[in-house]
Amino acid sequence: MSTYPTRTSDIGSVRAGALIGKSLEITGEIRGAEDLVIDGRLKGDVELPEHRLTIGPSGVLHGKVRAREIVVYGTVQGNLEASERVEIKKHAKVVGDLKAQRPVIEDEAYFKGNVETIRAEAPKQPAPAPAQAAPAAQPSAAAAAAGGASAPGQSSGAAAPRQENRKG
Amino acid sequence: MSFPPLPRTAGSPAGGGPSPARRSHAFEQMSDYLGGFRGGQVVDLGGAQQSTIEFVTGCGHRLYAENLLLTLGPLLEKAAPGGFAADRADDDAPAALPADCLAFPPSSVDAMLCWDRLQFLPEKLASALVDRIHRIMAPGGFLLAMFHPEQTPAAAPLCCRVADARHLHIAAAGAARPLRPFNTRSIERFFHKFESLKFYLTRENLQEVIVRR
Repeated sequence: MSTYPTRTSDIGSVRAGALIGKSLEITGEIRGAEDLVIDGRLKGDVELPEHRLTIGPSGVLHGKVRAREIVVYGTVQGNLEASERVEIKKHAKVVGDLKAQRPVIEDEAYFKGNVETIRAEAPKQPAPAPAQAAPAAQPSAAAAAAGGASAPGQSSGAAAPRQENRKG
Repeated sequence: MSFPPLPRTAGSPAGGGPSPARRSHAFEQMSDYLGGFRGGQVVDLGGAQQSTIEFVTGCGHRLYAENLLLTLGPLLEKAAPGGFAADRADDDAPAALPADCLAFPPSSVDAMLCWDRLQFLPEKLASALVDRIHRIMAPGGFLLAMFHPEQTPAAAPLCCRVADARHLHIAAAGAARPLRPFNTRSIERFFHKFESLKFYLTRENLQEVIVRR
């Protein structure tokens, strides 16, 4: 494994980080505090809580990943958990569960598994202005905020399904 | 007829660009159901579509995505390299699903988006799939399925994406495959273990069905 800026047009931007090259095969767990690009084969878990993991187009990973950001161009078999985003690019192949704030799966990617979003940590609220707002307004504002992330599935108005109930 | 992989343009109509969204009364009912609780398990048998993922996870649920035709394609090819014709007995067809297909615990799935996938499977396999769906779905859960018109001998599988709580983007994706014909009565028989069915006929003569477990 070497540490140098990686430049791959497919992968995108130039970043300093570690690279597991195409010819490398590794079995074992990786933990670190820098970005990592895997273009070879890795059998084992990866943990980069504050950094980005990229599985390059020829990269193959069998194991779990926990990172800030995960981008997959290659093949992964295992669960992916990112505190920010997971991106599965077209032609990538992922079998496993995704958990991220922003999971993105491009068309033409193969994915089989569960997708779950995690909520972004709410920014700290500034202290309320004293004696400005009416106290009674606070609960309703809180209730509005709680219900504000309205599920898109909730439709306004009553659905009017056709009355064609049948029992088999 | 063989079972080629779905095309690279899955989801886009032949002319390119996104298909227009159209209202779906069946999906509307499904989304009303999904909006009524959080933390459920939803299964999409049409594969992973970004807008569907955003919709379902936005409702607070988990979405399991699997392209059923890709998963079962090799199995079908192995059993019948020529493919299954709609008008042919499917004695050679596999009758059992692979163990890892929809391997959920009993009664753990709250909603299922089947789209038109059941119509592309030989009868025995489709029955096995419906049995498994019945086992893994929670009582009271909803399933959305679509059926092509009875007279249509072959069609390309539909690529369906959720546009919003009332609308779907629907486009044919890939080569046409033989369809097993269904009419209202045979659909009812097919889901006889389930509690109730509700039918909606679309402008394209697609039969949309909401099935309640």
